[in-house]
Amino acid sequence: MNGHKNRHYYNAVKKAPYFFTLPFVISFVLFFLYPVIYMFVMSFQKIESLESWSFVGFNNYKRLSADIHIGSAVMNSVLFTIGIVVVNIVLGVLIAVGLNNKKTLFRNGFRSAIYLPALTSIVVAGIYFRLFFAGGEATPLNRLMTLLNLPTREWLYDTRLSGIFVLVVTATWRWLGTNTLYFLCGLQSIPEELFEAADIDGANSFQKFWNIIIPGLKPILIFVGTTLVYGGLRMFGESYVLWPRGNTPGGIGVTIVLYIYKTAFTSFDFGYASALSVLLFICLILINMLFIKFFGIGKQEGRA
Amino acid sequence: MKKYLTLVLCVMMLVVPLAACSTGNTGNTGTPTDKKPAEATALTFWTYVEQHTEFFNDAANRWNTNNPNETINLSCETYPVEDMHNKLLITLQSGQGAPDIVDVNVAKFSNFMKGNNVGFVPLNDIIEAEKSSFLEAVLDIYKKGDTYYGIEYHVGAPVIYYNTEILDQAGVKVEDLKYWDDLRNAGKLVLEKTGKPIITFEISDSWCYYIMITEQKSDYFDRNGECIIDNDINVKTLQFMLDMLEEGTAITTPGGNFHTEEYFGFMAKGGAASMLLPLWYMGRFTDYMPELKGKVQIAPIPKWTDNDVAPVFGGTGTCVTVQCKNPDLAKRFLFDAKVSPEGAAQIWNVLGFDPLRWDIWETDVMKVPNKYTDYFGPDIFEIIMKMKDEFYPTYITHEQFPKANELVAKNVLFKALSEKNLTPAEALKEAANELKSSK
Amino acid sequence: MKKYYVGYRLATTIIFLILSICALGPFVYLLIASFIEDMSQVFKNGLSLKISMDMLSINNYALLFTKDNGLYFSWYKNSLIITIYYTVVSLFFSSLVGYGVTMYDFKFKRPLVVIILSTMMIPLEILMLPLYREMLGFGLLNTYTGVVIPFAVSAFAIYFFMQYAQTLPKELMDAARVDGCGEFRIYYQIMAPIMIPAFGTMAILQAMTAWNDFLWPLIVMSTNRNFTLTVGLQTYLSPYGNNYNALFSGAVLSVIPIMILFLANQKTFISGLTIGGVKG
Repeated sequence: MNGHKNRHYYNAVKKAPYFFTLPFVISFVLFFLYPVIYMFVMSFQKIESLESWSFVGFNNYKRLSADIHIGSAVMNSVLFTIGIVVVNIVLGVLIAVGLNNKKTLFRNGFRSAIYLPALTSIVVAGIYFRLFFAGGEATPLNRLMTLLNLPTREWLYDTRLSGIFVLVVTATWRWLGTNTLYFLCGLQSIPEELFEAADIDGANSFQKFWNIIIPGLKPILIFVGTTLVYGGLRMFGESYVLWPRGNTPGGIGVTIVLYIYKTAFTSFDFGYASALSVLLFICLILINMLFIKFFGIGKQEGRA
Repeated sequence: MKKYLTLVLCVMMLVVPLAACSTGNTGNTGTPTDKKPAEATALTFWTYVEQHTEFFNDAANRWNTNNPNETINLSCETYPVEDMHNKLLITLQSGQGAPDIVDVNVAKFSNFMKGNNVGFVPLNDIIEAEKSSFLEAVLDIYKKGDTYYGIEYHVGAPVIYYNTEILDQAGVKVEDLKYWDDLRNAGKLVLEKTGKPIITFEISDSWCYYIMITEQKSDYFDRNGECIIDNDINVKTLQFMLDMLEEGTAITTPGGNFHTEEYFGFMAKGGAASMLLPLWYMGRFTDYMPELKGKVQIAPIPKWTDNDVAPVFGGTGTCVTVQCKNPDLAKRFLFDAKVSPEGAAQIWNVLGFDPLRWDIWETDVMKVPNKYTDYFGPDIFEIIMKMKDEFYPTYITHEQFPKANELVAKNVLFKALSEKNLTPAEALKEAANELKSSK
Repeated sequence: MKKYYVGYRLATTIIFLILSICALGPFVYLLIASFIEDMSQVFKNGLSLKISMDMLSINNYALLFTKDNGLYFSWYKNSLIITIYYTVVSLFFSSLVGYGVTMYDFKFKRPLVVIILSTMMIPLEILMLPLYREMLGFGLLNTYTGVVIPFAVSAFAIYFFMQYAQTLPKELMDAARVDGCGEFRIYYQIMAPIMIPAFGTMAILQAMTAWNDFLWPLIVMSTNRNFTLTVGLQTYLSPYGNNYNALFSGAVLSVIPIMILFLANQKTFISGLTIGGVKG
């Protein structure tokens, strides 16, 4: 009797994980694996209309080499990613350290204030920053420039770097709050005794920062860094809204995903856009593998 | 607590998809613009120009008064220009969700003519009988083979809008600005006296440049379909623009093109002495730059030589899609709204456009005052009438025109005039190469 | 020591004050602009508004009700429905999966975890084209389900629940089994209630994601009655008829629900983040 019952829940325990994880498996097959395969197939096709397709071999891939826009798109996405990783980590950690220090006044108020932009959509942010960075003498940024005796600019139509600057500022406004909270949580998990011990050893603030805070934040740094890289390379909305409907001038502001979107949905060149997607997909897989290799993401979890 | 949680989850799971099904399909209905008998036929109209809804609502009211037995219930939807064309292409191709009547931008029209299954119904039966009253060349932009798929609003006569206040300060007379060289020289005077540029050039849209090259009978493609985007005339024109920018008589348009709030603000405050676009831009002045009322003078565009023409290329064609359930009614309504003489008169009165049906141009209909004559003065049409013999339709129907236009708008002008990392010749060459390789 | 305190406090307060102004400035600006009826004022002076009381009115908000027969509020409704739909579905499935992966040992556990984490790293933007065609095939374009379903089993949420589930007492499972409790019942009667804080946090995060999502609804929804707020609002930025009056007031109203959600749940939210984030 007892043995039977044991086997019964032994079986149940054996089957249960498959039941629990089934939703993921279905969703993975239907909305990941199949689209990935389909994307590869589409990249070998030329579309005239949704019902008439023809296979064109490697034609789409051959076009990649002659494409003058793809370089700009990749360059912008990479520069943007570097920009937000650096800005968000540096500012994020510093703000978090400040907010975590008990001597700082109004900590909760400041924390909420800095976090609030994270609640908005890119469209709302874009409406504001679109005007903030607008050209002309009267816009606030240009007024500030005049005040500082610096040349005014058409920020959105100046150079690639001014474009990246605009994008990084806009994105940081929305993203910094979340990242700061992550760092703050990380700081709070660093044992108080470490700081007390450091005080006894007479360590100064800088030493504490480098020897306790940074190592203590390592897992969070990796986590935030990864999400930022991933968020940076997929960025679309900021460009789409700042240059309304993604009408980016020349090589400024266009990102990989925006370029794919426009190729597919504006030029209706689905096949070529799929080839671009394949390229980005392969790059991300490589980056993903690098992360796993160097930071051991995934390994850890597998063991747990 | 736990029971409560699961209960909420379950209820949500059931209710939400149901709600999704029921509301997901009601997208198109909208609510009537006016009270109408119950049997009114619902028609959906998509456009990317807010003003056009005003025009079509007006047309629908007129239709319903004249045809009480066959009323329509028109619901208008406005989208941003790119969004609307993307959505239209997709809904036409996927066979569901397209509107009944739709405005298609002339620069994007050839995208819809690709392949064998055109998504629009032929309009020959409403157009052909009246054809002789129209400027046929512009009518033909929306023609594939012998079939008309769309009907234009306006000729789109190219004009230049001068801020007379600034010109007066510099002592420049509009009548003296016949040639581009005159304009450039006057620019130096204006710059000296007022510190302001005489004109602004777009760097994220192409129409100003396109008018400047097509008035010399150049284009992006020649009539044989060959790409001539980098020919000498085009290079020379771009170089001329660059020269003016370098000497300060011109600046790049704030915001990149003539449809941004930066530009409206800049112009309204008297930022530059002129701007160059077709007549349909009048509406932007009246709506966004009310301060300039009475200070703006419309004139024919400056010429390069005496052989120059007045390029016209329409702007927006209205089409009936194959997904329309009452194509016959939709077509008759369209006839009433845009083809008939009464409709054409409304194109002027409501929209301030130069109607494509030009047999009414000399009639009294066009002399009735409206908000445009209030703003620009009563003789707008006399200026346009004088250009009539020089009208020259451009080759905007080439299959690759949308792509070429996009390249000029987003790359060539920006790189040559603003970023200046390519010379005009190089920038145009780059575009030509891309057009040839992506054929 | 005291002096050091004062200096530190002064410096940090000033810095944080500046940061807060940067963070909140746009909200204040949008709020003010949303009450200005004559939009040419905004164009003319860029952002530097010169405001006098007589310029202010609530007409921009009234406009939202009348413009296109209250189109704005159908966007609002759509956004609400999609947000609730997405949040509920993704919480339900993701918690199941996250819990299942963490609490059991099974043959494919390791590869499954790697796959989950890998899909988290592959932005779905890449798959938008095949997914678009798939949705077309399923007839789900222009429907709520089409917007929600492809992302309903969210890898991010699964990962979050995996983290949280590690803190669950496994002994409880064995005890429940001895009492004859089925595995699913263990989940929803014993473990799910313990995970309520995680549900709370994740609900806010997912609701925020859905409410603010832009690209996918932009692709899936094709008629403006079916747009979400984000997609709809940006159509007011049309070059052939800017509608800033409705844009500003619409933007302000669109931020409000998510703000209420946050301010009402600030504690749950931040404490939840600790668990999700720190162990990353």
